[in-house]
Amino acid sequence: MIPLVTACDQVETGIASGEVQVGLVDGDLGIAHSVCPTTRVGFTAGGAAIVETENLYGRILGTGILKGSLAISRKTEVYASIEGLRYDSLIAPISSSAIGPGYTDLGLSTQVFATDTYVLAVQGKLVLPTAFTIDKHSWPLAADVGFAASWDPSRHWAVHGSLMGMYGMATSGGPIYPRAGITLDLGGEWHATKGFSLVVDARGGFLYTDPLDVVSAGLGIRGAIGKHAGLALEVVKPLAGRERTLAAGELRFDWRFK
Amino acid sequence: MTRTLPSLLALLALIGCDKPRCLDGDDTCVMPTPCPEVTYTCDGGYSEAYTLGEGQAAPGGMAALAATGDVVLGNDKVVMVIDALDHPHYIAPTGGAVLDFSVRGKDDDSLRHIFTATGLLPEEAAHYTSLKVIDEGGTTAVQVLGTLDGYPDIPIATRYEIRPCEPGVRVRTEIANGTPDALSMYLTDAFYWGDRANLAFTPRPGGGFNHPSFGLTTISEAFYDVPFMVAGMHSQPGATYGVVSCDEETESGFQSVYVSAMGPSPRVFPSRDWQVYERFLLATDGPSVSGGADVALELRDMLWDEPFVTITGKVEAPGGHIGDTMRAAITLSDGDTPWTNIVPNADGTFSARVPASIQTLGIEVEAFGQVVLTSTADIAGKDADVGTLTLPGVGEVSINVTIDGAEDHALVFVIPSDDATEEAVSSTTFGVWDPCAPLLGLPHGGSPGCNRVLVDGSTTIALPDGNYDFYSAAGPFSSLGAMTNVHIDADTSQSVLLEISSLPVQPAGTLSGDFHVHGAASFDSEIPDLDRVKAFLASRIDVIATTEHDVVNDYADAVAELGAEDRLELITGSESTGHVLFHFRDDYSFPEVIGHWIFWPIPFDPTGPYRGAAYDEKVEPGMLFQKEKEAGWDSDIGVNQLNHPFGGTQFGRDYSWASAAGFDLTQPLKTEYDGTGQSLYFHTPEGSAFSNADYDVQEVMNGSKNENYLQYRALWFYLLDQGIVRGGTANSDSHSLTENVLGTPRNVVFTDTTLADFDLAAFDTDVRSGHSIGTNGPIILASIGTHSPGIESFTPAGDDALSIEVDAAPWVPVDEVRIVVNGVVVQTLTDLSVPADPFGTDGIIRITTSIPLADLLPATGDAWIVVEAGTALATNADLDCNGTPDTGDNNGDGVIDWHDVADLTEDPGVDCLATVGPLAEPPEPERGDPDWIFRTVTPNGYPLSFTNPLLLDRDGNGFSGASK
Repeated sequence: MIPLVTACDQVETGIASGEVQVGLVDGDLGIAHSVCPTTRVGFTAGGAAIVETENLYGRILGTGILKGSLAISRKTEVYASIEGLRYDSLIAPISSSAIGPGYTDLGLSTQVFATDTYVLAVQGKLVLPTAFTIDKHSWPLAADVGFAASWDPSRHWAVHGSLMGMYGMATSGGPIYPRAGITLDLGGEWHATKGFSLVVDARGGFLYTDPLDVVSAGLGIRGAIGKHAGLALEVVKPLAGRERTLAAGELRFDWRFK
Repeated sequence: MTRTLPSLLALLALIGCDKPRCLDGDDTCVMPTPCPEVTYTCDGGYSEAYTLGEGQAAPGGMAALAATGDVVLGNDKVVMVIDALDHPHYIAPTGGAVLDFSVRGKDDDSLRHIFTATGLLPEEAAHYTSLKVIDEGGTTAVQVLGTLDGYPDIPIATRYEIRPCEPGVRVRTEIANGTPDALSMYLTDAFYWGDRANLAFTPRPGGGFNHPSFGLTTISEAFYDVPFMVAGMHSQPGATYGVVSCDEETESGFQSVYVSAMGPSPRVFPSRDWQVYERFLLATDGPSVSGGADVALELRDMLWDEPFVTITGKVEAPGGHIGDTMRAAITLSDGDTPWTNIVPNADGTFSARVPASIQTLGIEVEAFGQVVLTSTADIAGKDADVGTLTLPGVGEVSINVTIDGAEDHALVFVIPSDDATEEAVSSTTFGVWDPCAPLLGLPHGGSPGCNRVLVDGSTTIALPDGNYDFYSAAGPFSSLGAMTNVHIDADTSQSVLLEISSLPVQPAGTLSGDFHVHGAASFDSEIPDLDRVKAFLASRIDVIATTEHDVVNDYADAVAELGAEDRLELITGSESTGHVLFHFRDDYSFPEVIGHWIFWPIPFDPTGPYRGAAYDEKVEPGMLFQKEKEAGWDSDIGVNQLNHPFGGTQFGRDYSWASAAGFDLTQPLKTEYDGTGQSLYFHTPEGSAFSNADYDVQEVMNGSKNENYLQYRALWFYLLDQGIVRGGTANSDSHSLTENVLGTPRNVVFTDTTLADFDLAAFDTDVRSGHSIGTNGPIILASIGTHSPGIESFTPAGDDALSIEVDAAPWVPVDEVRIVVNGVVVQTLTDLSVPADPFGTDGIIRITTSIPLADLLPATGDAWIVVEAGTALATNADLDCNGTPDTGDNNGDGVIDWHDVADLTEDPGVDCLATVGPLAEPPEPERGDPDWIFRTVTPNGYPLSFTNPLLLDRDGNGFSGASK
């Protein structure tokens, strides 16, 4: 049941909504998309770092991603991201680096329940093995599926959350290393104005690489430029768990068509 | 077609057809035959694989270590030994690696180890957990499965396969990244040469034996791609080894005298990705790189359709010295890319392959380490005979040495008489190792080595033109035989006779001993056993603990061949030398090893792993002592020695326990263990009956140069101050004829046992008790009343005096005698007699004196006294504030500060520097000075000796350290 006016209809600018979009797994696996269908294109410059001096290990990851979404109805959106450039530099006694295309996502989100304050959507995406110059012999394929929800109790406040199941494996002649896990996210947005918001998230990842993959905090600053453009700066800081990333972040520019 | 097939195979590999077969944990898996493009045929070829049983013959050679339980993989051409999983060697954490590799029937194994790794860190080495021998259906292989040592989620599998007729072994390694993280991976064969041995040769512009130097933090800059790597073992008998990739046209790696690494280029290894690496490991007999390069080019013809041509010719030298007393080497190049290096046959003929793509062949001939002929030949990509290459003439010298009128074993030093000759003849071995003047032979092989010649009767050598001095001494207690300014002309012959006399320098009731000696069984030595024993005899030493790195060796065959059984006593022992880095200190984040420790006696086991020594990796010293005891070290009568306690690292491996533990000599040792380095000294590792402090003696002098004496002495004194008393020793740490001179320095042990009726237990008791002096020349006889130096304390009478006599051969200058009380030099005696003729036999006694203790000791309290004699020590300071001197006044401005530190260019602005050194040494003497004459047979050294401590228990309740 979708009412005539939902929480999503109250967003009139290019400002982003929903949880912090910075992921720690290739292809941003386990990260829920906004529950509000929009038609956008955007570009994201991202990066992540691992610094483990004691293990003589470090990693610098830089990405350039083209993103787009298409609202095919008031409740349904398809989206995709193409990591056109991925620079992966590993710092070790014998260092190495690679540069080339990264991963490609194809996803779909559809609302299954919506009111003027609540929205619940079912989402899923497929992460395709397009990092041709980095993955030499095996082709990782992954998918996530789950629920994302938002609650907008006032003009200034919104709460969002998601529960995503993840699965990944290699497609190659070698070991496939299947992995499955879940990601749980709970966060909130404060809309200071129609054109500026802050977002915080607490996120937990479980079972994918370890019983506790990660507990992380996310923080984002989002703004609208005019009616169509949006800009977001978001970072994620792992706080606990197996995850080795020191911090990850991205700067995102969107153009919203409708 | 021949180009198409490899390309097709490469494409198939890319799309997954050459998939890994043994990474899923299934022990029954079978990997395919590596390098299917390689084909050899012959008549009568065969292959075999078997586990070496008790009493079964294993391939021999200077580096051979095959033990019962290891696996032999052989054919009609070569024999390879894969070490058993529970016989890990050197850097590898488990067996399953290549331990020995020789040419069939040649017993020429000169390989230390080849193991598989994916990086430099210990956790990046393959840790194999299963081994399968396959010898059925015409397939002969060994397959090992496991994981990386520090990554249980990274499976690795290797197959060694041998086929009839082939001059090597095919190898395939599979690996997958089962971790969630991307890693930097360099899948490689690590060729552990160990130093002073195999020299890697790679064809690339400006390459050959020339490789970029690097440190652990700059290693990425030393990588380059080459079509193959071949390593020549120039000391004989030895083999040449090489590797050719079957997957890619070039391989990537770095080369050094310690380690070569070759494999696919380092790459980002994403989670779940995998890699397969196939290569051909080859071995050919003899010293010539060309033997291996010939096979490498043959393989590349099969793999990549790169044809080769064969170049023949002959090298001639007037007098016919080639292959006899004069060693020549020929490099064939294409422009600035050397493709092969040839040691010609004894008759001067040679034959070698080069790529057929070469139109104009560059030819360069070296003799005595110097280029003596260059030319070119237009070969136009065809087989060619380059004719006779005639080298400049050389002179010839017949050297003989008599000791007390009879010919005997002696080590003769050939030294340029003037700067012009020195400059003209100084050269290196293919640009590697330190220069020699002249370079008579490989510096770390048999005689002649560098500028030193072992003689026993008349021995003839070839020499380039120039003026030379010839020196020899029968150890530090004889006269010096010398013949100076001998002019050598090309194509002429000379005779040199050096006459040496024994002198009454070594006190009666003593035996001289060197307790730190290496030969070819050590990973960093290649001197053949026979020459090693000749050097023993030339040094006129009585007792030698043969202490090979990590293994035990028995020189019995060489001793018997020389009929030397009655001339010296050899005790088998071993020097434990850490290779596998690990964390043993909570206050230091980088992995280390625990330095070097010597144990004797350990029985020699000719068929056992490590020949009787213990596996010694990743344990604290106390556990090492326990493991050596369990392996056979007789701790009840034997000796356990802390070697060169301060020092740096070799390829990231610590030489020295005190440095590795980070002892701060400005602070007392901690008696309670808290994980810090300072608390490790007394720590008893779990499961051991020994604490880390349970060693018997410490080296105070190590090596002929005495370069770190001040630091070793600082630790010894620091411990004495705290009442921790260990005997001090002085050892040569000799590895060859070239660097440290065997028996210099040495211990003169006061003992009741004799060489004729040697009692090891009694001798070792005296060594442990410090009943000895350490010396490279001067003898110090020190006593207080009836008490002599040692670890037993005594209570002196009120009017006792310190009696001192210093003796030395006339060629050993003794400038001063230092009396050290509680770590401080309280008196320096300089009124010593000087012999009139350093080449004579008179003037042995330099000083006899007696000093009342009241003039030396503090008013009250226990005290210790050490007496030193020799050259005045250089002044050094402790700039890193750890209590050990580290830096001298290297810029000569009279102040020791950061300006004197070699690696600093600006003031760090801190009181305690993180970077220090080098230590200053006594100034270099002028040619012809008495100190210069001493240096002719003690290269770069200066006269030095020390006594063990006189421990004064002045309050009668036991010696408890220094009262300050």
